[in-house]
Amino acid sequence: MIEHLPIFLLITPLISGLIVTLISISSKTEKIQKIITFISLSLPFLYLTLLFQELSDGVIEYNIGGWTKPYAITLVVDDLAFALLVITSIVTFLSFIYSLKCMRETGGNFCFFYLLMTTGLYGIFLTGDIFNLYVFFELTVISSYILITFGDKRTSLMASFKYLIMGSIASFFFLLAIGLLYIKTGLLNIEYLSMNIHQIDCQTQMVIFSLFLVALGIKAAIIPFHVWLVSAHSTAPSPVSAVLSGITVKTGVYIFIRIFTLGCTLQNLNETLIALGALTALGGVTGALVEWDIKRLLAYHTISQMGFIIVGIGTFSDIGITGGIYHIVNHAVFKGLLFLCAGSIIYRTGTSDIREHGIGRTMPITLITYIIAALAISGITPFNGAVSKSLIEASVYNYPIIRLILVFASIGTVAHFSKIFYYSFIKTQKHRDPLRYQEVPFSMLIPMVILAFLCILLGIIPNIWLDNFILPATSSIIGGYNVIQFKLFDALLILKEMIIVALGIILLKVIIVRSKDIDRLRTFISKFNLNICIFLMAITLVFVLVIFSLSN
Amino acid sequence: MINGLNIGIVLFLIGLYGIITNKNVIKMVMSLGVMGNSIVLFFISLGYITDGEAPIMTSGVKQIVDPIPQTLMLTMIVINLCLTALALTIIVWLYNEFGTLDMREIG
Repeated sequence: MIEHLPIFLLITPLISGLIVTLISISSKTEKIQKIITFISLSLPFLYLTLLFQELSDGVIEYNIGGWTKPYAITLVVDDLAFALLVITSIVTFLSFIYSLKCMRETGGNFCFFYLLMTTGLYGIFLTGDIFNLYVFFELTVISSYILITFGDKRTSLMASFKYLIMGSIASFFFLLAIGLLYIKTGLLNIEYLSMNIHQIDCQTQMVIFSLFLVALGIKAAIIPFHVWLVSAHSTAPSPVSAVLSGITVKTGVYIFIRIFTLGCTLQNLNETLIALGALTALGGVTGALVEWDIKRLLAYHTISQMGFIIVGIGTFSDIGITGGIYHIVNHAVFKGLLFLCAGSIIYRTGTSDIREHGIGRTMPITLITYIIAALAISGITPFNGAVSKSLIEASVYNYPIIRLILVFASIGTVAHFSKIFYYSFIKTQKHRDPLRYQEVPFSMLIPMVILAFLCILLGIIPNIWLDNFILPATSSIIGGYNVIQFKLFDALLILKEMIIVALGIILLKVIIVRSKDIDRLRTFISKFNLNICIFLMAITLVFVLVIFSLSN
Repeated sequence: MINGLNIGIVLFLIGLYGIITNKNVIKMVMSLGVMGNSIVLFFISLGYITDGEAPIMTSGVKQIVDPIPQTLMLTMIVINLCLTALALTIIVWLYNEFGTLDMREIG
């Protein structure tokens, strides 16, 4: 029983998805389907608790086909995969509870595709085979293309189509890189690939890693490849946005980490990644300047936070990777919470334009959870974002320019979240009666409160999480770590945060005053349509190849 | 110089060029199809050996064609079929909503 747990994680949502569709053919009531989905999304908690006891004995491997090792289809659970599996199960479960009230009149279709997407997400983190990564990624994204179209019809269709084109290009680049790896080594298993990668000559490694960079860059929304993310994440229904922004984007980074562990011998690979990450962190915040739509703002901030994570991973030092993984977990929690908050506001007001919200204090719990999430994403001390952000900033100690860019990105983050806070909550609409708003239903509040609680819990006792989850995950990548004792109330850190907050509020004031320049920026940003971005992507590929060939 | 691997790469770039330049959504999906098929060609010729036989190990079989790329491509073809079908479905919906297939007008 115990040794079959990894496969149960995959099978449970898959089979219950099948059952849900079969039921939806015969009956029209949604109740049974929702109960089945609820059970199959809560069972992984049980599996993961049992797996955690197993994991203390070492890495768990599960051979599916019964073949011997290098050719087998394996599921591997190491500490990194485990940490991401836990956060996946939490976010998918809570988003589903939220969707019970929020997504009505969709029948069994929503449950089916949601379960399929969950299967794909578990599969990505579980598999030990580079081709199966592709298969599970396609499973995830195909179901998310469909889930996006459950949103507002006119805008979401085009967003879904853009996502489909970009996602397919990413998959083809990924396959091309897999093909090149297979020509040179004849292997697909990630563990065996990492032993044999040094045999590949430098020229081929260059091409392979550039192709991986494009493929995973699209999946992780690094800046020249980010065109699909904003429209896709903002037009999807809010619970789906929470999963897309919380988990699905992170799969790109996860595959990045796995590819990095192959241990290639290229020069300047880390510097390229750090530069791209810093560009992403700053670019995401700049894109958010022009937006008045709450979900588009949050989507741009996803890009910005992905930049932070990429910088952390790109250093490939123990502290950087620890910060990166911790930020992946934290970002899943607080960005999921922010999208759920946005969903609640849109549920009551019916509009996503922050200038027309003005809900005041009529929704107190939404207000409190929003404030917690906003403080966490800005990196203010008692909350979880502060821990991971300071770890990432410590890891780029040798690159002062990158540190400066990250500080600028933090200032922008503070400015935008106080913008949402000011317009949505403080400023009241004169022509509207604020009393007609009321708190959202109970089943929508529960996930928000739990996620807000997690934000505080991950921030107040960071050392417990670091010691038990994050540092073992780091050691499973680079094979060893130094113990990081994080000091919670560091006076210097708090002073720095205060300055960032003050500068952020000044920046907000500047944005409001200089709205004409913002309009000019908007016309500039709107010029980047799909075709131009794919062209830019090709240019970036050539550019990266040139950098690699010059330095190797 | 003219072998499956090189032609696969050239077709891949042609498909990418098609996606960059076309404004018609159906033509974009067709370019996507070209890219997908180029990958299939690339993988199949990657396992190809001249005068190789099918990988059924009876006596007398010496040179076999590598079966793994072929099995991988079976999976990939199925996924690609699914993607194309989904893309065309979305295009039908787009046409019903907007009455046009031009990317610039849909926005």
